[in-house]
Amino acid sequence: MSRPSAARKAPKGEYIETDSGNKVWRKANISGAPNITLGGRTVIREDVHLRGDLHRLSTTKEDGSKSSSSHSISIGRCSVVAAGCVIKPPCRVSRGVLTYYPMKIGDNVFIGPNSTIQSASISSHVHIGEHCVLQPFSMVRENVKILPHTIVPANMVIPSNSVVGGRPARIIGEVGEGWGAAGGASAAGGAGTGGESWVEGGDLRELVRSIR
Amino acid sequence: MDQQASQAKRVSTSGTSSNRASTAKRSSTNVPKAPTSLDPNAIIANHAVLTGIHTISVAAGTVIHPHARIISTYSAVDIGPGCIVSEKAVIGLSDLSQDDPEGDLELPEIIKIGQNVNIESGTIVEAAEIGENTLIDVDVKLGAGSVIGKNCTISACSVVPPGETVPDYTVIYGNNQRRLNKSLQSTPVILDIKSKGHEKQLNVLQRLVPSNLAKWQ
Amino acid sequence: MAQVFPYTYYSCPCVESSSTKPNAVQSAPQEAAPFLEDEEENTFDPRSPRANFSLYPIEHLLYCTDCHQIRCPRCMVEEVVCWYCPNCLFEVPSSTVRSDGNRCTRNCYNCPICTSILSISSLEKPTEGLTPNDAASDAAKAPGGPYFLSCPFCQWSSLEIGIQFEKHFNLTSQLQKIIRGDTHRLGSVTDLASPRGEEMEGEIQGRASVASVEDTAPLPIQGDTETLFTNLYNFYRAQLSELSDANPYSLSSDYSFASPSSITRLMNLYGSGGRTKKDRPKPIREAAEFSEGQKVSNPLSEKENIDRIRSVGWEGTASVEQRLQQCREDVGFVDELRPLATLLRTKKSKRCKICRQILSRPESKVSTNRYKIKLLALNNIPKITMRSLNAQPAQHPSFPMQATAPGSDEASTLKPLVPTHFLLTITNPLFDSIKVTLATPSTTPGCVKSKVTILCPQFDVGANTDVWDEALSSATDRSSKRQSQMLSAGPDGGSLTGIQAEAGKVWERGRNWTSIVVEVAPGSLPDSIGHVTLGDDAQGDGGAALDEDEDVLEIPIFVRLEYETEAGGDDGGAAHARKEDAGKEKREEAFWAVLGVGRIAG
Repeated sequence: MSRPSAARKAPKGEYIETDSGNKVWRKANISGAPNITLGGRTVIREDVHLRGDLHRLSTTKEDGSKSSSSHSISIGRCSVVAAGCVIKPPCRVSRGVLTYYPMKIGDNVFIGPNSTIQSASISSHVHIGEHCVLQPFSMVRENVKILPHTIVPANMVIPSNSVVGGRPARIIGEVGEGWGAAGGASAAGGAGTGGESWVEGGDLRELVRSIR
Repeated sequence: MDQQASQAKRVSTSGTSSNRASTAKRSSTNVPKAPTSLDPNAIIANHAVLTGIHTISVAAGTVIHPHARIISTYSAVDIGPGCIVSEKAVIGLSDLSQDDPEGDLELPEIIKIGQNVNIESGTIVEAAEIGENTLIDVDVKLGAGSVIGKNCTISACSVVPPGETVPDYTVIYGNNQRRLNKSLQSTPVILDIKSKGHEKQLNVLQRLVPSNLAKWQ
Repeated sequence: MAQVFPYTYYSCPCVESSSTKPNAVQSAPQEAAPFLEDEEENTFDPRSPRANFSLYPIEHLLYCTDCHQIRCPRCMVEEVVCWYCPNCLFEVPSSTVRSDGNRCTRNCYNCPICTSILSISSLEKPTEGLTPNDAASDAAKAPGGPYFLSCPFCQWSSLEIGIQFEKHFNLTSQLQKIIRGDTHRLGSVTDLASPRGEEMEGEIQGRASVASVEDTAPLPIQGDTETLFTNLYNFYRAQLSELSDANPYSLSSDYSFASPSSITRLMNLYGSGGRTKKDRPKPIREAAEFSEGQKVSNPLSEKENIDRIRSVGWEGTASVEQRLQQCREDVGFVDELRPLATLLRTKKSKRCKICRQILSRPESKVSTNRYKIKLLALNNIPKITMRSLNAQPAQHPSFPMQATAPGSDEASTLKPLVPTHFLLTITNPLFDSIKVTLATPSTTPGCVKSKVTILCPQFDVGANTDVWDEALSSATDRSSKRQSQMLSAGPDGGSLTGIQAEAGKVWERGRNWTSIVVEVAPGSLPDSIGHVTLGDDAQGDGGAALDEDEDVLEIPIFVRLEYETEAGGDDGGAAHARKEDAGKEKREEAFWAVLGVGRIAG
């Protein structure tokens, strides 16, 4: 009764829960679902656009490679994509051919509401604020905090342990050594009132569990 | 996906007045399906939304992604050939009271979008005109009645105020700073490369995004 | 960027060392009581200008297990473990860092206009092929040159300053060559010894004399910064080598004035010494000519600059930020801006300033994020979190699930003069249970006085034992505790808001955490109706306009903890495993923290 209702208590059945514990809101706009992999316990909130249909076109020569190359978005475990995000694989002309490149998002990544992601990859333990734009082929390494309303320009590489912000984004600091450490808060057991055990960049399993 | 099925259904009912009601139900708002003039070579995704009372015309080669919205409630919309309208983009005046509480703004009769314009996701386009080869990046807001020139780049999250005129080759970036794209202006090869890339993207999208023109005809 | 409420900042005790009482925090248990009274007089003021430099979120703090104290960035010594380019992630050997000017020497360049990373693109005319099939003929080869750098964000390109590259790799050397070529074209010198240099010298002197006579004379050749720098560098090197010939103690090896060789040199220069005049080296003189790197300010160039500003206008003038980012000083216009080689970043290890113990040491490889040593404050001092007791925020402040309209965030807006209850939770990361004493000034410092009462200032927090111990044992225990509390709270204990917070009682307790209630009556802002303030003497500044963020309610809170632990041992799990009474040691710790609760509504 006194559990932290950090997430709005939604009427039952607003999301579809998969076998591996992914929670996908029914109102999410997902196209090309076969090309999308969710790692398990990952949350896709309402109004999220996942453009799995924008995948690499198989070359006409060999059909065997088709199944492997049509992969477009993969999101790891315990990641949360908040409402209104657009996740869209990037494309560019390479050797005369325009190709969509698969996008990879790691574990325990939080993507704030209304962000647009066109990165090549986002590593684990990344916290992205609301209204961010990650332009095509940007790469976010591990343990990064992206402040709200940031625009990460195309092709930018954000090194590990940095805090970025601004338009265009620049590295404005480093996350502390304690980034993602819960500091004695229990990772299992869900400690009731005191135990909001998830922190930015930390293990988001409890946050995912609290979303219902 | 039930696209084939729904497409078949749409084809069978297209052009009849009964179509209108079902569309309204589908898009879960009570705005009517817009009268359209669509080129047979345009790609309009099944989940795109075209509503309003004025004519929406879409020229050849243009790709309208799923969940893009084109609203012609207050003015007609004319999208030129070879444009890309991404998901979550809104073209057309949606809510007048928000932009124009006094009602003294001169509303465009038609929203005219030129050739090869790329309109990215999350944009709100209320502009009267967008010139050819212009890129409108993610989450940009073009105010009512603004005029955007040719070969412009409006970078992500920029805002063009209502009624503003943006000259050709302008770049709006960062916190609405502006500069002139001298390299594009002085080196036509870059423009060639860019339009080639755009053409290639259109080509790929035509293969990736299934079209459901019949739904809107 | 707006601060997310609520937040907790910890004050590092090192701030005290600069104040009058250096040992205030390291008090023994018996001194505790007087110490607290003592502190009453100078409580920590989060608004003092100095406070900014000692307040940190806990994840930025480390903990020295030898000194048993928090260590903040101010009381740590940093050592660079490795240098790397943030863009290409190439690890740069320390030997070349200085000569490269701390910048990446591969292909990483930042836009001089907007600082985003530049990408290299081809200027080759595109082929007519459209589909993969058509393009198959040239699919094997990458687009050919020439190449140029372009900014994907603001669309600046190196073509604007007339720079093209032949190859798409090794940009730095190409760029250097281009710039050199430019300077040669401008007619300056890089080589001192060349006859061209001599000729130039004469030319400049001649021009200078002409310039003083007539305004229409062409500009004296100034050369650009690179040339000047090279000249000056060569000049000083020549001087230094002269000096080192004369002096056995070479100066070129170390520049520090504290070094023995410098002292000897100075002694030789100024001291009487037993040395003959012959041995005395010629003192270093300053550059006096252009060929030596001297730069003379030129009134004509000013005039030219003004004319240029007139013609290019505001858009053509570089902003201060853009000019500061350039490595040259005489850049004033947009078309003089050059791409900036990306600045390197470092991985650093940190030591305690006092005992030199290593507090954190990352692995030296750029690609890993692991640490060899990491002594986090998070694992050694209790974590303090705060949240409103009654009003549940719609969403977690740092994990918003839905977009919030600006100003709609009621949870962190406080109504003036309405007492609000907050739940303060102390989580114990230690393997021993701790006794916590909290203290706070009854009214917050600053011109908006808010009344703060900690309902239960003294309590225990359980040890951070194995998670599964609790899961197995206290599942029923906790609920019964909760039950009894609800019963004691009154008949309507069923609803959360109905439970009255009781003075002196802990609100809720878990395995290694305890929650207590803090009552806050926010003061009213001076401009609001009634001019009522809870503080005693706030009317003095009642009329004054509020400073920025003066309406933010921040509660300074003094946290003192006592616990018993294995003597001499560290706080690791091993010590916890063999628990014996014999080797117990009483330990105490104290620090200030600041709780940011929210903004007071006007």
